[in-house]
Amino acid sequence: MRAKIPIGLIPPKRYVVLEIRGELDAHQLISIAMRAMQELYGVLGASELKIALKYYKEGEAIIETTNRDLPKILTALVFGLFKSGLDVQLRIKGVHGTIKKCFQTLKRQDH
Amino acid sequence: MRKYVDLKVWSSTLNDDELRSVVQIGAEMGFWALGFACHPEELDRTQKIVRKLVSEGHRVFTSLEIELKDPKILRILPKLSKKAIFLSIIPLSLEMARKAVKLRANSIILPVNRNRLIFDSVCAKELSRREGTIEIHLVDLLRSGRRLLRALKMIRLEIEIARKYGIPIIASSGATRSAELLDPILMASISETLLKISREAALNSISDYPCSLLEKGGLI
Repeated sequence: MRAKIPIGLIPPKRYVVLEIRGELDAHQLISIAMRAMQELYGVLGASELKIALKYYKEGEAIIETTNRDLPKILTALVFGLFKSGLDVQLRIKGVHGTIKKCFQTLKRQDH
Repeated sequence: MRKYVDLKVWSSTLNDDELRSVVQIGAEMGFWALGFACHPEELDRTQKIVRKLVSEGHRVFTSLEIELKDPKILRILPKLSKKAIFLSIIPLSLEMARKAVKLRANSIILPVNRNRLIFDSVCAKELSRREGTIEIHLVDLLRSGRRLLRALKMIRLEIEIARKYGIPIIASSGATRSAELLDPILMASISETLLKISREAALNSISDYPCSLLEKGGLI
């Protein structure tokens, strides 16, 4: 059973299409981002942020977050990567309001 | 549509082919123009490369960074201000910052690695009168590790002082290799989060402000 939350308490979602260039998969990227979030914003700040990996295949990933948290999440991702010292480049292919549009972006790039 | 500019990508460690790939990656990321940064001793080499890339149709320019350690450096500045370069000065102390704001530099860089405030309201008043700008290297901030807390404390206060006097804040990557290049959206997000400025100001710091400086200086 899914918990029901009043509509006013759910911030608008944002989906970020990422390209990860280097030897790192999206699951590792998320764990790096989670650690970076705690370090940058503390437990209280990080507890209010939303990040979820929705899709990952061959260096391309879709991350779900909210409109409010987007700058903080992107900062944490980059901060974590720089701190890890890995030779990885993160490229943002697009930011959309629906996951469907993200897949359209990925499809357009494949063609 | 915004024209995104990265004012500082370090060129000294990269060869011609690597610089070409940096320009290509920058264009893919959506940058309208890129600045190749160098120190005074590498200026001739950088200008040569920039001229070559411009003749190939790329939108690049030379960005010179001078550390203001002692007043002797002030002697070479008049010669440099005549050249078609984006001139930035890094003051390493408050005394030097007070001197730096009176010079004809395009921007004053707030360094990350230091223990004291180097930009106060006296500097801000003078810089505002001369229509100067404040610049921050985002990659230096991200690489600062344990010093980040202290750096942010000082830089945020200095930015607040600058904004009180209406001084534009500029963000540049300061990348030393292609893997460190940041997408415009990442640069804006880092500026908004770490420098505590509004979304609009963060976007202006990588587009409108640097663009107007380049156009004013006839660099593009």
